[in-house]
Amino acid sequence: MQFVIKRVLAAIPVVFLTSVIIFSLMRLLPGDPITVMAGQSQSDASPELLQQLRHQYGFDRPVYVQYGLWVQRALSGDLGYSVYNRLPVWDVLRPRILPTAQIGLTAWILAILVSLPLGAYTAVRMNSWVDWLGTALALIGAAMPYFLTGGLFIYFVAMRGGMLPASGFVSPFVDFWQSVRTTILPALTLTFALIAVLTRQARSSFAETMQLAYIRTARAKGLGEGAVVFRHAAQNAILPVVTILGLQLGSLFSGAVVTETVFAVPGVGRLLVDAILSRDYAVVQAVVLFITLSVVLANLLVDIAYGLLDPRIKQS
Amino acid sequence: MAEASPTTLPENVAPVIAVEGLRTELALRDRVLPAVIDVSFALKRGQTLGVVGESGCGKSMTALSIARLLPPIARIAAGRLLFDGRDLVGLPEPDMRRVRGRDISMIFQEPMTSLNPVKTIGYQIAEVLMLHVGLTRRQAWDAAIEKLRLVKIPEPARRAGEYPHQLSGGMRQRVMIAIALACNPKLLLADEPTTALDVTIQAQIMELMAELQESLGTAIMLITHDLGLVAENADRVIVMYAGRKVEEAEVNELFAAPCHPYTLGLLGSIPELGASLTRTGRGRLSEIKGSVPSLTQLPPGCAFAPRCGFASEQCHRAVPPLEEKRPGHIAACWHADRVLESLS
Repeated sequence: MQFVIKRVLAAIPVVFLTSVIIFSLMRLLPGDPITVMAGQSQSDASPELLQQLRHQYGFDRPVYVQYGLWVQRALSGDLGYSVYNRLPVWDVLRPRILPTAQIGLTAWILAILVSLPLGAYTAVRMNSWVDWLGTALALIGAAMPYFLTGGLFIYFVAMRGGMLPASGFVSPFVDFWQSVRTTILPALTLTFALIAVLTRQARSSFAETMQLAYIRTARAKGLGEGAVVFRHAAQNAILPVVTILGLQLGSLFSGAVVTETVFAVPGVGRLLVDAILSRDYAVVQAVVLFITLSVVLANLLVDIAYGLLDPRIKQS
Repeated sequence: MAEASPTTLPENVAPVIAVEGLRTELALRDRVLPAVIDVSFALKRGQTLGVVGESGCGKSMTALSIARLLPPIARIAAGRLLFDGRDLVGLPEPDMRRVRGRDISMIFQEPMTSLNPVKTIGYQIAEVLMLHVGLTRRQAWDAAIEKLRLVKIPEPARRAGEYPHQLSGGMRQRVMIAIALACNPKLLLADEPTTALDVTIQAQIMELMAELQESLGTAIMLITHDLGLVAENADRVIVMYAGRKVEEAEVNELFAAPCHPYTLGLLGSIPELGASLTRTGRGRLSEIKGSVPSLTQLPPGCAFAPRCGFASEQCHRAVPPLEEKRPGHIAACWHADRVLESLS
């Protein structure tokens, strides 16, 4: 418990710095929400009117004052108002969470299910054809950008194959099977790169573990190779992989920005892109805050999992 | 003249293990190197055989060969390992697994890393019992606590639930002994079992092994570079150099009358109370000049010749055969007579 409190406290500077950076970066971009809206409405709004609108939303005040006000409101649970959508930010963000979470978690779990056994197998059977195939796939996976993987999936599976929808998202509460079908391609796109990273990590970690003295002890006990790998090596070898799993959650979000755009999924990533383009400051800040908190939370869960897997951690 | 070591066993007892002409090779990328060359010995029930030599002399490789736990690059190229009337060389792996941990156990040098850090010590002992004795999880756990009591770990029931990092080095080595002796093995291969421990702990561990050996009748192959350990604990001693057995005798005989210059050198490099064996004046310890030849460039003759003060032209040309130099005492040296003379 004390550990959890310590971790939560350690997260505060992270959240603070992220919010300062994103706040300043957004203000450094040319234009503001009012200019963008005026440009899109095609009307000849007078400079006076624009100025009045800016004043109304507080965009004419110094940046640090705006930041102070934002922090004050955010702390009381008010994320602000989306100028572009004319809705409170929370109402814009909330419906976007489910698609991103569903696709991201599917990709994450798929990556674990594939890369741990594959990494273990390739480590034990080094230089076998499976090992070479795994290495090749990992290199391709790490080298392929999301838009290319996604584009290929759309072309071959959705358009040529006609097997799965090419875009959109359906909530599982509306139509479960359709929801599964719309999740598969974006999740596969995301998971491909993740599998590449995790398999390499799992392989090297398993290979290293298999050299250790207690593995020799396990063999000297008369255990078969399967028991040696699964009972004695696995729990130790996945520890570094668990760390990577937590770190990779951040890259899942950055991947979501691209895949949700490619597959037209109304998720958090897509919202972020749209909000940046429309200079919808409050939404950008809220999304970044949301992502930061998710990553911090995920790493906290990883640390707790680590403590469960490694008895040496629990003590300290 | 040394007294014969007190062996209570009758001479006609069949050996637990008979190693005959063992040759183990390392396959490197471009060539094959011998790590163990034509090593033979036998070990009887309840007996302790000390195997001494510098690191890299092939003593660990010999033990790993017997347990068939060689690293992937090494293989047994020739010889027989007669254990219980069976030749372990060529025994199918599933059969070998039934031997390992039950009939032949091993203890390793590194008590810090030889136990799995994420499993309780109780589980690590119970595992062998479930595997070889067929106990249920519950029974095996209770038996594991008994084994911990046997190796004199205080509060065994509580300790069984602890993890290796919660134990001291000496405690961990006791756990290793408990694992190794859990199934009352016929042969225990102890590879530098006390090297990583404090001197006081070393004595306790060796005493424990001796006690258990007495009650279980286990034959022990004690691999070490510590001659003091051998003097106190072994019945017979094998001296190895560059992959070969160069001398073998009962322990008192070997210490009293070493026939191989290498053994003589080893004895000269231990500090002793009283007179030094090799008189190098002012009580300074003697050392063996040079170092063990690399396996890649073994000389054509005696491997020790380049470092040997007794070496003649013959030594550089031909490998000396193992011959009985004194009753029950064999050595591989062309000049054993001169070595023995130098003692008096």
